[in-house]
Amino acid sequence: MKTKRFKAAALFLFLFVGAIAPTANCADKKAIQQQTNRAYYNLKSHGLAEFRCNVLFDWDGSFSSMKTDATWKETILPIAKQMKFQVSVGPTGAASVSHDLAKRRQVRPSPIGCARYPKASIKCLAVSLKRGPN
Amino acid sequence: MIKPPLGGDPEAYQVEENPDGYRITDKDNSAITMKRDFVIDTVEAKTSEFEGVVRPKFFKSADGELLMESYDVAYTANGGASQRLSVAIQYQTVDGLLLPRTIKMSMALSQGQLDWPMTLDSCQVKKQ
Repeated sequence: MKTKRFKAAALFLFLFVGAIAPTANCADKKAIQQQTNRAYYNLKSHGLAEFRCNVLFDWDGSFSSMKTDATWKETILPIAKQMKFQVSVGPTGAASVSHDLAKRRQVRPSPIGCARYPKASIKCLAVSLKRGPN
Repeated sequence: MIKPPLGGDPEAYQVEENPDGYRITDKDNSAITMKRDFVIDTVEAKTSEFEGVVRPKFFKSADGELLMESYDVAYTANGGASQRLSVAIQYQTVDGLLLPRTIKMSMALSQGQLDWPMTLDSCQVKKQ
């Protein structure tokens, strides 16, 4: 008798738990996948192969509410402002960012930091951004 | 979006239905929760070095398709302190396609608040 009751309770639990947390089968999953993907704007399905844009930064405004030191203001920012960035997004969605120091010759020579080595400026900028302006 | 939010073989993930919507998990410990209208609430990712939750917000285009307008991220990396990041996106139309125009990242750092907008300008589109 006890065994029968236990089996009945186990069956009830199994069915109840199954009812409140059902796992979708393969056909359901495919339907959910298709409906989800249809709900979102997708550049590829709108005909995009790739795009390319210039990237403009507001260097002054971005760091205005942060504590910055003289090296940041006098050395890093002038280089950063002269750099031109471009982003390209290909058919797989992968983005690549390229940069160019537009007016390399106009970078004022400085005895300190990255300005001394304009060719290494993006590396210096990246390190500096990682460290923060202090 | 370039890729659909749920790509690949549906066999690769589990879909659990609950009263609010769906929870989709995969073998890499990432999970997406979304409402019954397929609007994504959260995207969770967890590895041995990184743990993060993304909470996106969407708006509907004129054609009724969902576009991301912002997202908040809370994450910890290498067991460090929890960090928060917010991103807001505005769009532009280029050759009939909706591309991001401004992407503004906001983050509280020890040096102060960082609000870093970037603008995508002079965009060129190549169609299929």
